[in-house]
Amino acid sequence: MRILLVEDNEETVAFTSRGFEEAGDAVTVAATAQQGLLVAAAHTFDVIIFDRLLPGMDGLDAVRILRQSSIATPILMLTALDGIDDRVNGLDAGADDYLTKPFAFAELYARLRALTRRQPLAEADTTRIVVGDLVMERTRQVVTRANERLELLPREYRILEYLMLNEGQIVTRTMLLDKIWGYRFDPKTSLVQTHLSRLRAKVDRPFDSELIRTVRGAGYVLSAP
Amino acid sequence: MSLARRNNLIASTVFRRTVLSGLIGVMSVIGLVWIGYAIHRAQTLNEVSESLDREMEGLEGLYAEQGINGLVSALSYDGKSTWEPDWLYAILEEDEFIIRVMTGDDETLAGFDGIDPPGGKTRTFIEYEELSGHPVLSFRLPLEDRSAEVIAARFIPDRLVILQEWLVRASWLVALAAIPILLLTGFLTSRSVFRRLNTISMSAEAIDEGKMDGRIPISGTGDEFDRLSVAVNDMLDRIGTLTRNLQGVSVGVAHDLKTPVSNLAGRLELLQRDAGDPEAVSSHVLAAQGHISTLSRTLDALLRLGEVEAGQRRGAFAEVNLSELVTDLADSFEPIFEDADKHLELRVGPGVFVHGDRDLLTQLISNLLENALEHARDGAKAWLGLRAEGDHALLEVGDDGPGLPAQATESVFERFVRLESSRSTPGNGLGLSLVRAIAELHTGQARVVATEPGAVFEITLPLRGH
Repeated sequence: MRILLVEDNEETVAFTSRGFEEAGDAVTVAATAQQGLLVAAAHTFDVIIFDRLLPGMDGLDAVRILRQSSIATPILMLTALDGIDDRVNGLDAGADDYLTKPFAFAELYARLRALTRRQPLAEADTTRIVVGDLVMERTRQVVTRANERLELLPREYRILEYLMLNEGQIVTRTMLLDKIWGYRFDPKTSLVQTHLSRLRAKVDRPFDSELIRTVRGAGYVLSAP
Repeated sequence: MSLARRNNLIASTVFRRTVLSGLIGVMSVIGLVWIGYAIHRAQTLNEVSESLDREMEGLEGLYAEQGINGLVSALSYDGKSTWEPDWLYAILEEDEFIIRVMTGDDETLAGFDGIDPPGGKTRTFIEYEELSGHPVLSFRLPLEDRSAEVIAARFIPDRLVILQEWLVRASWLVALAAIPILLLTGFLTSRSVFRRLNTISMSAEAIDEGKMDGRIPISGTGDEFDRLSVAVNDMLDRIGTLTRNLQGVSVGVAHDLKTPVSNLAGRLELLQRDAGDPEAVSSHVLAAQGHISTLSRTLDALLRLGEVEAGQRRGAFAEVNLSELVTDLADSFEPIFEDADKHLELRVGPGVFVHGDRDLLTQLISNLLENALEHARDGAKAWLGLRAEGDHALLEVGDDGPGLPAQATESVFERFVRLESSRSTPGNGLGLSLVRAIAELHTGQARVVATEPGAVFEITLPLRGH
């Protein structure tokens, strides 16, 4: 991925850009909103990360300017503010996703992958998703593994669908809370873990190989064995 | 600064208002008296002018019958047609009118030539002051063929003149006497108001100096100062409670933030020590991440609480199907209860709608469920109920856990209050504060009722349209 990181905090820049470089991605760093806008206008990126609090200009205004100059690159906003309104404002301004500090690199990376994934192919057009011997018929809402039908509760179906759409990529706990439960807060209880373990009991346990794997400290990955 | 303020009476509003309203009062009295006098004077002058009219009619009649000579002879006195000034008072004792008949060239034919009112030859009355300085009302009328003019005059009654002079003097006297009296009244009034205000400001200064338990003395008369003092005292009580809460919150924040930070520091030390052992490193890192998310969760809850309490979210309210939301959340939480060897029972009535913020209501229900999960003993059951009752929705979350002491039914909603007081179990003391703040944002209420065994949290929210 070609990533533009507009962020003035050196510590954040240091730890994220090291992560990107290790993953083989090209990162361009801009320390001010003005510089970020110039770079974004001059080059093409796969994704832009914009900090909300930048010297000289509110990140929100910068994102608005980018969108007004018809730059359609996916944008993820970073912020230390965690109000619901802040989140809504960020998305209204034209950002595609919103992540609050402090965050784990794995969380950031998973969200960037989700943003850069080709949306139409995965979301709308696929009526049948296949991962290994796991098949999801989306029109009939039927899931089979090794031709054996799995009885899933509606919520379990939605979790599995989301994991299958993001095949091979980390889906974090926060992403699941957001997409499946619509939670904008982090519950104390192990909501995600409990539901995932129930899902795995149905999808993986009766079969020889494991499709859903836990990535410790990060999230879950569904991929063919 | 405050001393100068206390002593400068002239600058005082009370002083100025007292003097001003006193002045207005005195002026009104004087004004009313003068209006009364003006009415009386107008009536009297009207009577005089009517009598002049009648006299003039008589003279005109005489002229019509007997011509100018008849008029002249009728006005003759002691055989002379023109009057000597000495006669005037004698004539006036007989007849109240002073008459002059003159030619167009101002030559006196008969009567008193000392009377010569200004003005045209029309029917006008003139107050004429030349007769020994005594005001008269006079009437000047040209005769029919304009060969001569008749002037008739009559003294304005003495009592009117005397009354007017007396009124002028009395007005001045009252006005002059009122000024020192008003200044004194203003001084005394403002001094007594200042004394009352002073006790209030001294109390405020004492509080300013840190004596938070000081209160304003109440005089017991129930006047406006007492009402103000009671209001200020109530406010001070409330501020006192809030300050104590805030102190509790600061200690709570410090504790809940310091614990994960010190755990984190410990893990980092271990990480350094075990740097050579990849398995240990990875377990330390995981633990450290756990501490960070605890820290982050507490900060999020604090920020969220501040946001909710500031009431900013009301603009985004929409219709929420609470029945569906509660059922959905109960579905999500049921497996968690099951895994914890507890049972969650659902008693949800259909079609309960409220006007509110879906995200926040989700958090409210989740926090209550988490609380029940935490407090219900193993093998116990918790239950979640929702029904419409009158004009509000009643949401109940009960458990048969150890319950809580009766005196704690309010304090559980305070920030960082955790009844076990050990803070050893996971979670911060913000969950129930957030529940109450969210309920209150929706103009609802949150309370807890101790039952035997366990406790029931009751949340009331106004139904849609109420």
